[in-house]
Amino acid sequence: MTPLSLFEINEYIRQVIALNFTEPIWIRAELNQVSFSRGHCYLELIEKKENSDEIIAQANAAIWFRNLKFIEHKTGPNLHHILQKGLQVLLKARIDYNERYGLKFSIEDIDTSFTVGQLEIKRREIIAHLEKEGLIEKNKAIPMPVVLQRLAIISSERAAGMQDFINQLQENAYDFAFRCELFSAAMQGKNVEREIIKACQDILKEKGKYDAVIIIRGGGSKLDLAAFDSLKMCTQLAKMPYPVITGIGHDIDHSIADLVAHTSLKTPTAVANYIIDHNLNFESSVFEKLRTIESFARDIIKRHNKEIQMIGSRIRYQALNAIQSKQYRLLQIPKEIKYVTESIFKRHRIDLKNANQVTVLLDPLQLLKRGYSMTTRQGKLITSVQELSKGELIETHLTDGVAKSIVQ
Amino acid sequence: MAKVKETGKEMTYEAAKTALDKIIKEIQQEAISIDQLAEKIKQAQELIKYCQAKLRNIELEVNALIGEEEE
Repeated sequence: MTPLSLFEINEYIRQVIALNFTEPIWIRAELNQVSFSRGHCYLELIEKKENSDEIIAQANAAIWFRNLKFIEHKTGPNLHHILQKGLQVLLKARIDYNERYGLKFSIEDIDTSFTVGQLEIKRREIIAHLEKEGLIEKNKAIPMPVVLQRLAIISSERAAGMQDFINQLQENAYDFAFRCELFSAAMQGKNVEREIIKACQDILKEKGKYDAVIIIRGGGSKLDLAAFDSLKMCTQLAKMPYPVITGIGHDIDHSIADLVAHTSLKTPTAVANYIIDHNLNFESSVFEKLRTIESFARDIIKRHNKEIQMIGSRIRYQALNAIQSKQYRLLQIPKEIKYVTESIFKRHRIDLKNANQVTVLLDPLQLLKRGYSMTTRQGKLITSVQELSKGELIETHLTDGVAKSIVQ
Repeated sequence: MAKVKETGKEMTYEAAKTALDKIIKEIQQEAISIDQLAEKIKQAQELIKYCQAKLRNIELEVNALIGEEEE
């Protein structure tokens, strides 16, 4: 057999391939390398053994300029999220073989929904990892300062919603003042992760300078939001010493950055409202405290006044009482005097009566009446016979007259 | 009397809130005499005046607003 030239054999292989792969086919593979050059995109596709890192298949692929434009048109600026190293992709490839350059898959289309599914799986893994490390709750554990005034804002000057946010804060109805410092970072595209991490590091340069870290941008598609699912970035955000407030604009889905944040809100406008309300709450609460203090003070003063009044009326009452009882006593005195004098008189009257009776008893006339007699000599009372001598004249006094007799 | 300013630096909102809570507690427990009442209310009003002003002027010079308050 005549040996074939290299060209001949390669041409043969090309024909075999061309005959067998007349139509493009869908291929499932993992992206091992992605690079862009001169408007084309070059991919290294691999397949690993299940549950292992061993590569069992490998191929080079290219998305030529024209196809790349078509795919970009379909995915918008999210292409870099899909063409990400390590992601599983579903690609529509035309198998080309070139005699000089060998086998090359020319990619004509990408199934983005497949990649979104893959991203979701990856996202769940990241969440699980963050949960295990306690990073989902870490930032939430930081107490929110009672007033949010010094704000470190991570956003892009160009980001939709950024200027609205600043305006809304500055034109708040309560005239609250804010100090906003912008730490510029890409809010879409492939630099989001790196630039947000850098912004965080810049924020950390001065300790205790801020009340909160704010991450804001306008709305974006679901894939665009995938930039905020980065493990490295979310770890950095979770570890910030300030509460992180997000408003990265998606109504339906939360990014992982939202999950690790202290407070996650949907839009920059919502964040501005939240901050204004937060400060308003503080102001109202201190006013409430003042009202409480004043009301307690009023109560205390009222009670003291009442006590003083009560003491006053008690004193008045007691004084009146004392006066009344004295007056009563005074009124009693004449009565007492009368009573005492009367009783004295009475006693004296009885005494007199008694004395009278005694005198009656002792009256010699009364004795004479009862049969006793009294003998006298020359007017002098005779009480013994010894006093008498014969021949003397004595007089015997009886009740109704005097008998004269001579002693024998 | 507690100062409305802290030595050398601005008083934080947190500190103002704590000071107000302390007055409330004292007044509730009647730990202050009726003679001190007016003074405490004045102190509370000053704290609020300070918070109000600082909310509206973040770079507020505390001393300029409150004046020297001595113990």
